[in-house]
Amino acid sequence: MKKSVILLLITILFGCVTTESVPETHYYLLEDKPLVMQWEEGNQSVSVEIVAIPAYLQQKNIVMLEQSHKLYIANYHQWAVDLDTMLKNVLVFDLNQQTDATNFVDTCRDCEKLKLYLDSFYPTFDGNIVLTGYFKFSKANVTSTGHTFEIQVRQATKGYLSSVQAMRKAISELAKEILKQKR
Amino acid sequence: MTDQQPVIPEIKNKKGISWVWLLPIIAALVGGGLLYQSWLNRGIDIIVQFDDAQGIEARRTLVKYRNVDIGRVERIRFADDGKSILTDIKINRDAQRFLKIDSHFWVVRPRIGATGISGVGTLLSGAYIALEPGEEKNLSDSFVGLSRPPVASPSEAGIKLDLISYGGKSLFEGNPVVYRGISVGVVESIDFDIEDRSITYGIFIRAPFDKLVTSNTHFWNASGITVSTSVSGIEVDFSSLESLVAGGVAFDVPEDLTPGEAVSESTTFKLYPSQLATIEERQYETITYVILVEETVGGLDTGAPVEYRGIKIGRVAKPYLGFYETNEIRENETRIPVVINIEPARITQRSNESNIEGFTEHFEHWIKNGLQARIETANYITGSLKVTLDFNPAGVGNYETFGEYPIIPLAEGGFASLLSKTDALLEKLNALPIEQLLQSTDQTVLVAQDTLISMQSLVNTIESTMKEVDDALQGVQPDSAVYHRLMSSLDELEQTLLMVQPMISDISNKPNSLIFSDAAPEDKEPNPDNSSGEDK
Repeated sequence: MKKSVILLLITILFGCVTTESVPETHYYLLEDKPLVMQWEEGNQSVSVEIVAIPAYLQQKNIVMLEQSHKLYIANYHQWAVDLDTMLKNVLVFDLNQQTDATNFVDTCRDCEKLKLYLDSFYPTFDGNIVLTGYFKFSKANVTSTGHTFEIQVRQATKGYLSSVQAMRKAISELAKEILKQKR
Repeated sequence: MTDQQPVIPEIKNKKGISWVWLLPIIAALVGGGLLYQSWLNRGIDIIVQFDDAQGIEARRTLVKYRNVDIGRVERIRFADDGKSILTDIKINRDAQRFLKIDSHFWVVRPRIGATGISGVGTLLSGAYIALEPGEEKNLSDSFVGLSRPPVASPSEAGIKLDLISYGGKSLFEGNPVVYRGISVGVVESIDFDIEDRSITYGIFIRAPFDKLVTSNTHFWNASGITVSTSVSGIEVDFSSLESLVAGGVAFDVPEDLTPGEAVSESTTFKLYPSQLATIEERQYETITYVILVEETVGGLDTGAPVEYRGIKIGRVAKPYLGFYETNEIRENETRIPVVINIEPARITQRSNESNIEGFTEHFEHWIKNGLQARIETANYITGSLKVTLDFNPAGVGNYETFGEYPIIPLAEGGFASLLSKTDALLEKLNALPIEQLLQSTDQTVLVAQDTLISMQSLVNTIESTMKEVDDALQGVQPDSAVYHRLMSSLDELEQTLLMVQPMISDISNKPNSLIFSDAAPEDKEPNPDNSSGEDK
């Protein structure tokens, strides 16, 4: 009897320490290289501010639209940095890359502001990147009319890495859209 | 057998007393001596009557004279009427000489009164009966005990006087009698005369201070503090600390009076309510005059001051003479005769008859040279009036009498007086330095302008300070290092929370997942080929 009890306990303990193979976690960055900002002196400064971003995007795990109305949150594919931070840095970089007339900056005092309201920014199960929302410029109590945008970029291959690359392109498209309205 | 004659004993009668009796005789002599000694030591029985037996115990309470035990209470019983108690006391025979008919007995026990605490020593030893021998030659064996200790020793040398008071602050037995700050006596008794409505204070002044009391001595109530104002400022006066706390009597001879003659025992004096009252209320020798007033005398009371250029020289004796008395003197007299007493001693500082005669002549001369009286307001709040004397500008007057009273003419009053007062007021207004006042006002305005400039400067200073504060706050503006560090910390916190969030979600869904967790399956991946209808 005594032996059988000891055997049972050992079995239970052995079961507890048994490991299972877990998939490897992958971390992603929106920018593929360090962003080096260059501003022209004397240009008008515009600060970029992401005012709103959906709550489901404010997490490390990459979100995918699996099917209509259904989101899928990846367990082993995560952002290395917060999405809104990366989005803002990349957008500022792209805006400055695409124009010499204006200096887009992180923050500045008493300057014009670009306010971005993000509605969606994710890959879909079928390989599309969806970036929607609207933006507006405001300056000294004068606010311009908001401009909606809906950008879709097709990712090249299967997987989250390709999705991230496509999302990076989508931000560049957004920068172009913003600069169109700025002019 | 021979016949023998019986031997007859020879009896001899001895002369004198047998030595056998010597022992009983000696015993009888010793016994007699002891009885005599006992009789000598048995003490004197006296009876002392008290209101109550508080602190007295039979066979325990002692009788003391000058702190020497001279007797003991043997028994305590009620008096026949039941309203007092009788204590049977046995006094040592050698103390019999203290039992004078006027000796005093009282119970010594702890007492707290206005004059202090007494009998503290009896807290431990217990109460005792104190004896103060009298001065009479006759002895007595029955006494009435005092309800409280006598404030002055009956055998102490000094003088006893009576002070009559008609009001003022009350005094208590034991209050000190003070002469120029020195306690020289004590208030012994207080009696209230119902008919006269007066209080008679019996005081005792110790020798040799009793020699200070003479016929011109004035006594006053020295209780509390007297505050007076004069050209030298405010003066606060009190006779002694003891009298300040508990009250007391002070006495002295006024400066304008000679000491007078020595007084005998039980002489009665008036007790004035204050030292000032000894000057104001005392009876002076007076010269009586009359003023015939045509205006109202409402507010003119008996005792109202009569002043000559602000100096009080007398008092109003009668605000108005009686109707019949006036008619007897002069029929159909419509003016009101106001009788005033001039008291020359107030200004001469001498009190003798020559003053009266001299001042009578002087006043007659002054009246002829224009001395006149005026009824003026003494107190604008109460509306009381006073009589003021002064000379008219013309310097001429008539000396007349109204019955027995010489008349002091009344100065012109009514409308004429009002006009003259109006003129005087206008003159005063005219004399006002209005130009200087205006100049002063200009200067004040200039000062005010300077002040406003200073205020403007102050506002500028505040503004610059606010700017500095604003600059200081720049340290935490969005472009400052502090702000960035703060935001970075918040970001880290946010990231940590984001990392923890899925775990919390897992634990919420499956509480044992911390121990028995299942590995998540491979993630679904986005794929462009899925659009071709691949199973999701």
